[in-house]
Amino acid sequence: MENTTPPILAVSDFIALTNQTLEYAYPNVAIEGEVSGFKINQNKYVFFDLKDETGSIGCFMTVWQLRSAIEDGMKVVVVAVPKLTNWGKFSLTVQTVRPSGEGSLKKSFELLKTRLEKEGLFAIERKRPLPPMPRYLAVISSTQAAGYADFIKILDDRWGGLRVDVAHVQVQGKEAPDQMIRALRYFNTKEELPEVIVLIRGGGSADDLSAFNDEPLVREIAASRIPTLVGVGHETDISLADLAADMRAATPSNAAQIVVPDKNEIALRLEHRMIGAAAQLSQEIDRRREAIMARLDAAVNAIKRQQDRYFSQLEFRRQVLNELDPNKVLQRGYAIIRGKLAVGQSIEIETNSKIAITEVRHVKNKA
Amino acid sequence: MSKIKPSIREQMARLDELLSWFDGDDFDLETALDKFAEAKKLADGIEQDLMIAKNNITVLSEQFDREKE
Repeated sequence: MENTTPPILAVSDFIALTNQTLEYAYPNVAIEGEVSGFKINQNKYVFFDLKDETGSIGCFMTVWQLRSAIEDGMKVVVVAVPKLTNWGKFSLTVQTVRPSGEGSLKKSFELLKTRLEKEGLFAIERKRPLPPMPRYLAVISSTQAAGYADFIKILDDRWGGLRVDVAHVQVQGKEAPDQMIRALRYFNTKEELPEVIVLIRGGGSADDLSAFNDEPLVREIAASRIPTLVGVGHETDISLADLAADMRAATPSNAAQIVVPDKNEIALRLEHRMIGAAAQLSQEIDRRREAIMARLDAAVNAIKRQQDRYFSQLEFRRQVLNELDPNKVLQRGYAIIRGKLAVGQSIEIETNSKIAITEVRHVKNKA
Repeated sequence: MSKIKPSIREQMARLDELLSWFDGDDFDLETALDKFAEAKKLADGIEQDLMIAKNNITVLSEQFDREKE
């Protein structure tokens, strides 16, 4: 008969062996349950129990791993490694915990929103304006997402000459927040900073969009040196990332409409402004023309008046001249005598109607 | 050395400056004609640039699925 006596192990060896076996059987396990006895010790360690109707298991994690607001009664899914502690207590070492189901997601959203609001992360005063005509954009999205295609199409339709650097990341699932955080950090530490970071994702269920309510991601958006524009889901979906961003777009398409102006509108506006300037110019030309015409009229009138004055003076002189006309004298019966008044000389006598040649027979001086 | 063409934003700023002058108190016809000609040329140029310019979209090769070493 074979000897079946088991090997004798030290307690710590047994614990180590058990943990090895557990790790082999459950490298990590996802468990859904309700949170009970949630507490944070020394602002570092998180403890709670995960329970259902008949069972309960203790959970442990660090504060920095806690990315959603959790409280007692909330339904959550934990991803964890089962572990037997050195004191023989069985617990789950939690890697991630996320609210599960619409009610818990909503509750977690509201809890975190209230907390971050109190910290001032969503304050209007923190919001920075986006540049009106950016030249360099950073886009964080999944290039396979429909929302990304919509964004790029509308961007291309509206504006040109942009440099657009796209960070392809997951936009849903447990890896998504960290990938988006890395992309935000990447752009924020570039030598040449983009002028705007646009974070976009198309529509989805509350669970799909829950990555955008991740606390570290929300804080990273709020801390960005570069102004941020977040367009996630549909018009009615509001995430904490939206609230922390400098500007919220209702959808990815709306993000494209916000981030760049419409070139056709700009062209039309340019045309209107040029028409306005041309009208001003034309008005000024008309005003000048009228002023010149008025001055010309005044000059013509002045010339006319002077002309009239000359005419009148000329008329007066003409009358004087008329009076001096020798013919007028002859008409009154006088005569003009031409020649030398000496005896024997011929002289010419001109009257009004006749000219006579006579000889001088006698000359005497008048008394 | 070739002169770098101003960006659309810079050209728009210059156009705004020119057009604002038309609303100002310094308006005089002789300068207005020159400014209008410059503004018209600029507006035509901007419109042309807007209509032909294409966006340069680059999907980065950087991976964001893990922390940089």
